[in-house]
Amino acid sequence: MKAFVIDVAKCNGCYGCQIACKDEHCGNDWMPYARPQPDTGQFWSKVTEYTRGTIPQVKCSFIPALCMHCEDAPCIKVCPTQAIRQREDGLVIIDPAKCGGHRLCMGACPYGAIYFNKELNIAQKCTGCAHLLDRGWPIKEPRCVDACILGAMQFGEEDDFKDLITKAEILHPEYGLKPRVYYLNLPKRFIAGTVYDPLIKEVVIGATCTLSGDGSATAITDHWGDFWLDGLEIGTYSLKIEAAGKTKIIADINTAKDVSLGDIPLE
Amino acid sequence: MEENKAPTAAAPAGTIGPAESPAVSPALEPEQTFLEEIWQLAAVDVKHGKIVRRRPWHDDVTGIQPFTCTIKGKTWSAPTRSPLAPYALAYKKRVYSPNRILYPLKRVDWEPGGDPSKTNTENRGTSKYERISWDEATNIIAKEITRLCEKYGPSAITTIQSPHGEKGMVHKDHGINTQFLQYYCYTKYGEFITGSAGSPASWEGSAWGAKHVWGFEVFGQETGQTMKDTLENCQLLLHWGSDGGAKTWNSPRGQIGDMLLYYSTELGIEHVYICPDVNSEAQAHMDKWIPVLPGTDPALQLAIAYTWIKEDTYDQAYLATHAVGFDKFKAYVMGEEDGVPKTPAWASPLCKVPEWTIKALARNFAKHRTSICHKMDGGGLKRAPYCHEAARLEVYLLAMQGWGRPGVHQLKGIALPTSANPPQSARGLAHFMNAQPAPLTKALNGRVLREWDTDRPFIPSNELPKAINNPPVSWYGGGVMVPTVTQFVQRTYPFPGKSEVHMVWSDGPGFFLGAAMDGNSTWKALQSPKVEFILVQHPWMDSGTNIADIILPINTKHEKYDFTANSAEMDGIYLEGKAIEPVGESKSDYEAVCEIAKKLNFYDEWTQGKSVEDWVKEAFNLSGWMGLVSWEVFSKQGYFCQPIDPNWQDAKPTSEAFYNDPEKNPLQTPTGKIEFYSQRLAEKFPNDKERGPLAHYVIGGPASKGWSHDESLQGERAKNYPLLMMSSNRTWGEHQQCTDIPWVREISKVPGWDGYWYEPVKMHPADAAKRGIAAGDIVKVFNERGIVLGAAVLTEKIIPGAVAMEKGGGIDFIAVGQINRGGTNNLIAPHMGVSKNAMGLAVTSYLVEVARVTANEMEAWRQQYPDAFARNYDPAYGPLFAGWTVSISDDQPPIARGDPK
Repeated sequence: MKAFVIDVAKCNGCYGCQIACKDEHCGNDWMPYARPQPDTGQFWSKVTEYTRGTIPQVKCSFIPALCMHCEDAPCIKVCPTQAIRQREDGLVIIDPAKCGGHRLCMGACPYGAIYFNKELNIAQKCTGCAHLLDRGWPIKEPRCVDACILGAMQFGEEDDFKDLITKAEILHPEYGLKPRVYYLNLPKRFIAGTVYDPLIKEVVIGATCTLSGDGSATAITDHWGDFWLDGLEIGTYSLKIEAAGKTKIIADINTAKDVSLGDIPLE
Repeated sequence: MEENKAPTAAAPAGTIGPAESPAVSPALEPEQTFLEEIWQLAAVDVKHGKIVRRRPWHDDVTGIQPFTCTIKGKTWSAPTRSPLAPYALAYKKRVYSPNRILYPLKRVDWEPGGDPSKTNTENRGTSKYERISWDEATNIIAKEITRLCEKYGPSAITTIQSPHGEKGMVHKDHGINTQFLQYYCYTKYGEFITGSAGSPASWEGSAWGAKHVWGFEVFGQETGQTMKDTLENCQLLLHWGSDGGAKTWNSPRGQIGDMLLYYSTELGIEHVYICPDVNSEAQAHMDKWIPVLPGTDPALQLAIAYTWIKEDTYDQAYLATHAVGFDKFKAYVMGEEDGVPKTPAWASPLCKVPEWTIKALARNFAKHRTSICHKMDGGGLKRAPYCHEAARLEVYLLAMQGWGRPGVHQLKGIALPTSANPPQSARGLAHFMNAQPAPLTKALNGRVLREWDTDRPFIPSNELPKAINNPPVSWYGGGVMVPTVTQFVQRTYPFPGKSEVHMVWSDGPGFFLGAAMDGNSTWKALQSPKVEFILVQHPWMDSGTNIADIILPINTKHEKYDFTANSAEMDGIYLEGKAIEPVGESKSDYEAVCEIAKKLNFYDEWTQGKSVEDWVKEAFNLSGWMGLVSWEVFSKQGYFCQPIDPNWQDAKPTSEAFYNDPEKNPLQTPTGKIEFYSQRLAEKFPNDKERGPLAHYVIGGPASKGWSHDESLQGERAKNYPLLMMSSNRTWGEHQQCTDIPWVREISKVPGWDGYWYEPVKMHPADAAKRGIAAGDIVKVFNERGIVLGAAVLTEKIIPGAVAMEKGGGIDFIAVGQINRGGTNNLIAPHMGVSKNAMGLAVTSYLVEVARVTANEMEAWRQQYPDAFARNYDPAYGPLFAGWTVSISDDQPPIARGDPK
């Protein structure tokens, strides 16, 4: 079965996957696999940027997403014209010739991966570039993967990715649809700050920052006075900062969003 | 021009569709593959005469092993695919853009002959165009050239070339018009035209400042192979004022720079970004961000020096043997010169870096082997008012830590080595057609014209407004890649005994109008009746093309046969096939000049009797590669590549020799040492308070007190314009290019409430809240020099007090020279040079204010400038070619522009 493995830590946000998908599908007719994608508004391969935290403790994450090619694809079940099928290799394809434009699949897909082409009256989405895979030229991979020079996106046989998949996550496992797009290094939440001594106006290096509450973690401030408590689940935490006999407690830190505490005086 | 028989480059088995297969479905129809290099080498697949896709070229044909290195036990290999920039993947849309110029045009209210009542030059930028034939257009052009040469002499003509076009070899832009006119006018009249050039635009600070400290002709930046040394020895890499990803993507090596940054992180190098905003490189690679207010880096640099001196954590022994004038710098830093010690407490309120973080930065810089990285030339740090000071102070800091020792360098990114025997680099080859015609060289007894020649007429494009409006003008220096000595030579326009300029011919006006400084003044100056004729040849009706009186349609690389070189994962030369027929009536830059040459009865001389095929072969023969591969083999396979030097590890950084023995390996400074104090500057410019012999923190002040700039938050102007503009190179295109690609616009533009897609104006939420600005609001960014519209993007990725816009969003005037809707912000950048005697660009770190544009204000503009609002526009593509023609082309239906939805 074909699968994608996306390592978010290797994505620099170039959007090459999103653009290469458009280059392949906008204005090009790949019948019987796909009709042309409109120039704007559809994103069969889509990058979403997340700016996390607040100045100066900011991190950026880019998460590429496409049709999840679910093993239990709900779009297949709801199509009144049986236009959607799962190929033997696992790719889920909407047959443009059979699609009647009923749009039930769009409502059924919780990932929002299906778009409606008003002009052609058909639903459209990522095909995994099955037309390229089947003919084997000029490339043998989906365009998004071919464009990803940094290797953040991989495509191949699910069995060959076993080792990576054991470390990977899927988006929204609660949907229970067994998607075949796997993610490595998906961002969690962080709590970060810079600890300084307001009397001598120096950063505090080596302060112990201990987190308690909905989870526990410890970090030591580095040579910038910074601590990064990363990989946290969403919850409420209390942070204790200790150094040279001084202690500071910051309570009720909620990680619904990443939390930058800025410059923290330790008095 | 003869139909080019393009060899089907990159046509190895497996990459081309089965030509014999019956076309049972569109998905199986055969395609043909060509190689085309724009930024990076792409494989271009074509079907039924149309481009299907642009994709990375897979090197599965050369048999060359990709470059591999192992450092600290970790191995990295170069990709075997060409690392295409995102907008290079989308370039098909530029080829078929509805903004392509399809046929020659003449401005409707312009007549040749120079009669002010018939040239209507004040309408440049507003009037539309009518279609004319190539024959009519070239007749007019030839007659105007002849008339102006006979009336005023050839110095009445200047050419302004695009420094960033498609970089062809034979068909190239980049000054083929200059080569032609110099050759023609010298042959016919025995005189030269007025030469023109910009300034060291991307590295102004290095050129006007750092060169005086450590030489390094001509860039003023450390050169040499530092990859191995950096990866092995550097511990802390400071990306200071760096432009980031934008510059990685538009270099031939594309995203390889990014790959090496990821590798360096794996090797344990810490990446600290010191810049006002989290730029497109920082967002992927930063371990720590130190936000700093634009233009205030010298305060931060001086406080670092102060901390080192106070704590004795700098290399005094090195300075004693490798530098001169440190005592003067020390006196300034410690407050002995002006009574102000440059302490972290002094610097912090200026640069907005907390005192404790400044000290931590100083200590980590001194404690670890630290290099400073600029991708590629310095970004905002080196293109700001008085940027020569930050650039000099940077070298001072490196020197105080024993610059040249392992891991202590100035880097232009972590750069791959080159091949063992590169006959000419890609860049060198790209200048092939810039080589002046051989017959002219012969006529000049072997002399090659240089941009810094002082014996012929010249005008720096930065000085155009003053030169046209208020001659004579004088300046020091001139030219882009020029030696330091040129900075001590004063030049004047008009050249003694020669004419002022009355005709401008450009092959890429977007750069000098939109990427240079104070474009509004330049635009308004070019509306002078003195400038009787403006000719532009360009593929697109984009930023600045509509300054012209006559426009010639130029084609893209895909539409002609040419020769190219590229250095991505290895150095190679390639034949670029003619993938498709020219769009509309377009011709190549070379062919367009040939058409004009015919009308001037100079065609045979100009072409030297050679066809395009002959020129391609000649380019190959001059490239130096013919010793490595025969023309027969090269032209058959369409490519030839060399692996990277297998002995690359033996190459040492050039600074290492100086570090080891400064007497035997002197720098290119008068003393051969690092000059904290420049005796040469002291002698030549004794009264220059803006660039003295020793670098200072210079903030400027009012013109009435003799200052070139008043662009700091400490000045009077800050009361009205309290935000500092951080203008960096474009992430989603190069300079003014690629603003017409829908797939890129979806990422890079923000839909406004009026249906127009605006350039993002990045602000901190705190600054926006003070001004009642919400995310997505249409805003005006303004100062006395004009208004640029954009849409507010509220982000934590920028320091409060600064506002960030990338360069080159586009020029789409509501009011010419006053209100730009397209987003190009250089139009309101300062109009003085870097400083009084440094005539470079100062195009970032300048003062602006930002305000919400109300519906009433927009409506008032609509009523005052109805034509601007009526012009054809498509949000997905931006302004359209059809918006500028009096008769709308059949294949471009009008699309209503910017009506409120």
